[in-house]
Amino acid sequence: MTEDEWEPKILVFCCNWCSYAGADLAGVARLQMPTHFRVLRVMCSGRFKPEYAFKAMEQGIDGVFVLGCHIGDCHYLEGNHRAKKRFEVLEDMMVHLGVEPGRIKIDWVSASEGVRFQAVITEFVAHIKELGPSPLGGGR
Amino acid sequence: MRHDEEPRIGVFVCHCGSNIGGWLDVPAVAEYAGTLPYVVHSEDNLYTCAEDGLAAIRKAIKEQDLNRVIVASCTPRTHEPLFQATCEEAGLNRYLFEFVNIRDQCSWIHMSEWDAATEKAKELVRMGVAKATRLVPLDRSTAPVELVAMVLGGGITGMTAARAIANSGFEVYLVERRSVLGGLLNRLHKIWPTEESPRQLLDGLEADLEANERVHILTGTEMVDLKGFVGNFDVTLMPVEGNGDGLDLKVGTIIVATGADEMKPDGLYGYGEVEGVVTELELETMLREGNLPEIGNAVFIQCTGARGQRVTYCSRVCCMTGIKNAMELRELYPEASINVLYRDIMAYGISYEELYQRARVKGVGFIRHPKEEPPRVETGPDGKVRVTYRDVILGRDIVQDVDLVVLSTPLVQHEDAKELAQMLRVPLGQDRFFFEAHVKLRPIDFASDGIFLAGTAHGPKDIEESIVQALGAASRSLTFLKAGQVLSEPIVAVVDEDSCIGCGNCIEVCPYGAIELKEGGKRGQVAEVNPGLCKGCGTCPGACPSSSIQQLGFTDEQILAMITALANGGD
Amino acid sequence: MSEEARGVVAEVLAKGEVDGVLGLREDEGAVGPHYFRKGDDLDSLVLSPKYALPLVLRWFRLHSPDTRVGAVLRGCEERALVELSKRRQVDLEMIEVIGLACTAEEAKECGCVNGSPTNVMIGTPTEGLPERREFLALPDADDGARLDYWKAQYSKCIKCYGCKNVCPVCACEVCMMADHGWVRGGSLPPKFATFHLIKAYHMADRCIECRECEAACPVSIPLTEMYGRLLRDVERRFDYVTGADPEQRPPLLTTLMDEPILEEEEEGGG
Ligand code: SF4
Ligand code: SF4
Ligand code: SF4
Ligand code: SF4
Ligand code: FES
Repeated sequence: MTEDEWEPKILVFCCNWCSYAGADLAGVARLQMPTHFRVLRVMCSGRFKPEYAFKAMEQGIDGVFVLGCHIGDCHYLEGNHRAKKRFEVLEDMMVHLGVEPGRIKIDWVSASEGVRFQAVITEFVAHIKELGPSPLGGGR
Repeated sequence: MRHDEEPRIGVFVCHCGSNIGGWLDVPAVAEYAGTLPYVVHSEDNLYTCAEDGLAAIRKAIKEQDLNRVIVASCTPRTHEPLFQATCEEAGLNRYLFEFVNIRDQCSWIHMSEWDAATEKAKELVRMGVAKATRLVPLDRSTAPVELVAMVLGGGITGMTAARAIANSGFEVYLVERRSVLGGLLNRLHKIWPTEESPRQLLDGLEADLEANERVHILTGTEMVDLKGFVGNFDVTLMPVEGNGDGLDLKVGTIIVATGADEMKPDGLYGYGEVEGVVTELELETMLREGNLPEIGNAVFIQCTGARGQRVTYCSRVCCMTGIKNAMELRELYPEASINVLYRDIMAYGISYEELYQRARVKGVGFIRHPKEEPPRVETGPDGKVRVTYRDVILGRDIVQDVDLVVLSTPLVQHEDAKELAQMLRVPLGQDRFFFEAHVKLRPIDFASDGIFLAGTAHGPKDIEESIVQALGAASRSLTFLKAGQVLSEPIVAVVDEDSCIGCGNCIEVCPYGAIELKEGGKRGQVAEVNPGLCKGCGTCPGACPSSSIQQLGFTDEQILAMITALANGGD
Repeated sequence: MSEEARGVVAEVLAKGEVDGVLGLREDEGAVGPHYFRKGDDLDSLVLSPKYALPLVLRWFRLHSPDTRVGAVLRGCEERALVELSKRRQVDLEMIEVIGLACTAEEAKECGCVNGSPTNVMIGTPTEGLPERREFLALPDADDGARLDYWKAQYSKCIKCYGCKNVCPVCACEVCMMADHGWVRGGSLPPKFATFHLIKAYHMADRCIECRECEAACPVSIPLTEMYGRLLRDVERRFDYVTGADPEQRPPLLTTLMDEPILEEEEEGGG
């Protein structure tokens, strides 16, 4: 694959209660955004663990985005606290490894924030495009 | 069991009229699905959720011997239960169904990218197939419900809810931490629009409650501990004062009706500093006790502390309270000048607007000021209060020396609500009121099953609205009590006892205390999940260093398969 | 120093506050862990080479929970014990640490920072150790040189699992690094970089920097250059120092409450 043809592959973990609902709302409002992301629904952002990011990036996924409820709004009270903490460590790992930490990101989108979903996705996709193919994915 | 057989997956791709089919190539997605591993049937439907679409699913399950079904369409948030039920009707376990969202999160947000949207839909289906291949049948379990309810808070809301539950034949504990029932109503003078005394209302209710042997009134009592889950809560109650004996209860449902307080606006408009400045409730107390000073003129200041001043919200009831009390003064002192200084009057609904008009006709003055220029209040001459305010219509400042300034302050959450929220494991919103499961769809429920919300604990409300919500909460509670059993989603955590070392990480991250250590395993101790307590958040697997705990329906194997399917285009 | 140790252990045994003492014994040239009881011949008790005794101490909780055991432990081993106790693998109440101070040479060799155990009973606490261990300078990240460095290092791996097996704070029965769902079987070197990142992530709030893993690695991968940096990050972010306070919970198990990042979250949460 040449640079020109490259299109980023982005994995987005969404929690069922807020961010997935926010993503749906963006759809209901017909908010347009880049196509390059794929949502993987989990019940809570607390289901995320950094090991998934390793596996995703190892296999050539260019960016991993975790979206949960705003802090304080988690359907399960504190799942997003754990996700956030795990993410802090993950980000540090990326720095020491020499991978742009911007390839992974955690953010919050509530069920009523379709517009915010559109905004954070558009920005993340643009950022990954700027970074280019993941240096971790073998074969590239 | 079927899931031991090789997967036979059927994929149904929906056009949703033109909602999906108009923006991406649905037949191509269905055709692509047919090429994926283990997919033995794929088709596209105009509306998969319409009866002929559902019939097509049932038919394919039977004729093609499908043991997994995927529908690629709108969103699982609205349609998953329908398709799951359809699978069940055709004899397939409902958890062998997988939803792929290609409308809300694909066709509708990529309306000018036919090719890329089609490609994305294919990849999403590929991820869905990877997960479906690894689905296993799960059973929803049932647990009996303790046929007793508990109502926290003995104000008008809690009393109403308790009476409704008892009248339906169930036992109910009404827990109030003050020594009397009645809550804020005890402090009111008159209730509008009926102009009744609140005592009339409370006395009737109280008599009903006392006469009903199913009602147990526990005043001067508070909850100090809560364990368990819907149908099976273990409650510990203690007397607020002294160190009397506690009481342990088993209840099936809980209604939170703990009410609110009136904000004390210290430091605003001279409150606490200038003699003659009182809140609405303080005024009502004076009215009730009949010890008001002679009043020649009075000023009400609306929105004190509300709408951006101390709290952000509009407290909903203060406009009407202010108007009500202004009218009351008007009647007591027909010669007096009574002015209401306001930013906006929210006299919503049918009767309130009428009352507002009546007050104007009766000569209560309503004077508007902009948010940026609030009135100023200071000590005036001869024991009066000097109020300076901007009259936007006249376009100048007006200085008035009055006998009384009444501040309409918002209802606010109790100081210690957080402790209660933590005990109940339910959230408080940004304004610190209790936060419902869904603002529109589930306004009386909490996200935690079996706990309901009513009255001003939820946010400012008038009496009528509180009573309506109390009856709603009672009815939600009765739904569980009458059913006598609860069904639970089986997407709970399970432990692999061969590899678990009992480190307890999972226990510490579980927000519901659903995991405990028991004897067993290779290290003498293993984690054990109580499926009744587990809410299926999936936080625990993220804390286990050896992947020994998994969330059913969202296992590592399933999630990794989806990641791999996205990355590599297949297994 | 072995002579001194024998005296101390004999004394501890004589006092009778413990049922026995776990230490190292030399037997026909081979050194291994041994449980010395009152009256046992202590001549065979030795202090080196370094051996991760905390993992052995797990045995007591499992098979003989009522035994009060003394243990001759170095500073790093004591810290490992603390981390193991937080994962419920040892019962600190039942263990009396007989602190062994490493010599200055030993400490230097390990690049050890906080030298001695809390209660030194054997040897003299080493002084003058650097506050913080110095990390190797990693190549620049911007042009990919740092990633290339790790690729080169990690691709030397022969998946012997030595790093995991010697680690005094790795306590799992089934390691994710050996689970084929996470790390494909049969590929050598392991695919970059899940294998090594799993270990690094799991070490971020528990590695006590004994550097036994590096000593065990047959191909000299500088493993703790990654782990150690993560430990500093965790310390900075969550004020958590591994092996220090038995009461402090590992930060990945607690919520954001009381963490400085909570405020950022609440302010920034748009
Ligand atoms: S975190 Fe894992 S190993 Fe630890 S107790 Fe829970 S299931 Fe067992
Ligand atoms: S899935 Fe969530 S609720 Fe269930 S045991 Fe795990 S952490 Fe607790
Ligand atoms: S330095 Fe290596 S062996 Fe020692 S605790 Fe850390 S990871 Fe384990
Ligand atoms: S000890 Fe070295 S070679 Fe062996 S598995 Fe660990 S890193 Fe790889
Ligand atoms: S449910 Fe959304 S982050 Fe927990």
